Amino acid sequence: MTLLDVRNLGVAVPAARDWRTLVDGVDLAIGSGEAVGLVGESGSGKSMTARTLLGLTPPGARVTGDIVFDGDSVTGMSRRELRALRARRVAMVFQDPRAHINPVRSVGDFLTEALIAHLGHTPTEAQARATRLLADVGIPDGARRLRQYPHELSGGLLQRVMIAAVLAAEPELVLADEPTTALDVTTQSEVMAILDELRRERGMAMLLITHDLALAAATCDRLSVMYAGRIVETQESTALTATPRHPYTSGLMLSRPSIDTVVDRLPVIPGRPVAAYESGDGCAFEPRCAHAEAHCRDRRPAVQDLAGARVACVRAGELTLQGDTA
Amino acid sequence: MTSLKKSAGPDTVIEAAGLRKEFGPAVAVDDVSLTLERGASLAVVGESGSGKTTLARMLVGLETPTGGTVTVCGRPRKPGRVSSAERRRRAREMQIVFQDPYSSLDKLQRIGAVIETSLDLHFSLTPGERRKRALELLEAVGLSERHASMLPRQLSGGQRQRVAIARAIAVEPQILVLDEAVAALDVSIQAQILNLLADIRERSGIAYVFISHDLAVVHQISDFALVMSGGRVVERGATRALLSAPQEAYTRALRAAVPRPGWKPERRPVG
Repeated sequence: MTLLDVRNLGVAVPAARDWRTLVDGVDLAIGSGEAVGLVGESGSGKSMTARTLLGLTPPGARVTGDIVFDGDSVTGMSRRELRALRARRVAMVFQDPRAHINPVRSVGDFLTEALIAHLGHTPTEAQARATRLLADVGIPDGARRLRQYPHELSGGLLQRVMIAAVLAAEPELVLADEPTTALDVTTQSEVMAILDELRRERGMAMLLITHDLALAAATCDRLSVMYAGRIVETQESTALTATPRHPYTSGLMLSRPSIDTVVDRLPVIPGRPVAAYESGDGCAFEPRCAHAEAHCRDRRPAVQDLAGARVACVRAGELTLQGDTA
Repeated sequence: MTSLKKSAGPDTVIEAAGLRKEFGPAVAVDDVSLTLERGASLAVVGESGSGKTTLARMLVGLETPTGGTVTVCGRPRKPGRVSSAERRRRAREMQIVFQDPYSSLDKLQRIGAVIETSLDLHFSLTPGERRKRALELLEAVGLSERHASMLPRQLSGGQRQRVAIARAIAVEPQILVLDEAVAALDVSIQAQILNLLADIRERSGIAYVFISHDLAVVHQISDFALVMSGGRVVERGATRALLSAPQEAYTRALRAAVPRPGWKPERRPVG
């Protein structure tokens, strides 16, 4: 069953005298309990896409297209309805938990507030429930932690508290925006394992927004790769890793150094990533693409189906691209 | 690049012995010794709080060791105030590139002037020679004349990091310390900078101390590595051997946490 259905999503923000397109023609579907990764570099529009799903767009932004959550149009929701959606059904885990937790209130206040306000728990019930939630995210000694303040906790612990807060509402969908980017690798591994385990137990769907293709591939069922505001490729994770269909996906995998092999020179993608509004009329990746031909500049490549993949490259059918086989 | 040629000197460019740094009651670095040979690339790997950045700052002289000694290019670095001539001399030996190039560049200074200021401090060149040399250096890091008249904010993060590298190598140091210098960059840009650093080392014989939390990056860029945890070196050796067959449990855990095909995240109880 499709829980979230995004069709032809576009986001533009006002610039001097013009509109700057940040997200363009994004189609995205997430089924109940499914984990989808949205992978891209800076300016790709991945974070803006996630925020738009919750109505968290910058002031004056123009949103086009349809976002349907469980049959209801999110784009048509009032502020009140959006607040209810965010409080109960779709939750977000951000990259920097410190920026999203009130530093002068205790962890207990932070965790019990939503339980009391939205779920109608009494303070005593909320306290007990918060302690159990902390245990679920691998924090023993919850009663003591509830009395602590954010500055007393490490980044990894605080991100677990954030996840506990998300779980409290038992949402159907978790949007996780670079949830482990600020954490050490061993902590990242733990936090992702916790998210993964609890998500499966509770049947929650997840949209993981990340720059780390390997991390997304390891923790998601399906991946969409974004470039310059558009999704250039969508495939099941293991298939995408082994046989990428878009030159950008392949380039992204190969340019990342490996812990298993050393190459004399890393195969690089020349140039730098661009935002949607910086790209011309043709394929936005064309100026950096090793496989580009003259006709790639003609128009935006349409998304086509190719052996189980959805790919926006006119040459996808004729190319054999290298994946990550290590 | 004429002036990036190999320079003569003792084969050991850094000799650090028993380095220790305390911040109040906390011990950030505890009895760390290391040797860096001319033209070599040494990685210092660790997680946050491991002491790797404090170690780097002590090597460069931005932090005074509580104990231990640092010898650079055969000369012991004594703590305390030094003359400006001595500071310049030290700068010619060792330069550092930080993680965030934006905060280490003057936002009102044009890129060409950034490089020229560095050259002016260390070499007596005519304005014409200085400008020519600055453009050569920008070209060496993949930028062009067009960028010389720009301000830092007009450049991308990757381009700013190239400027920081150009400014550091302008001085023709024996050693470049890179403190998480590629950590904030996009994957496609990170690869370009890693290749650039490899090229510069091959061409000039400069030595690197590469501070990083990223084992894959370290694997690509270094010959030798130290693994730090809690201020101490827990394992050291040739990078490839160390990463393919780590001996210590901590190094194994670090390696096991790196996402790669077939990897699954692992949950451990909070210690």
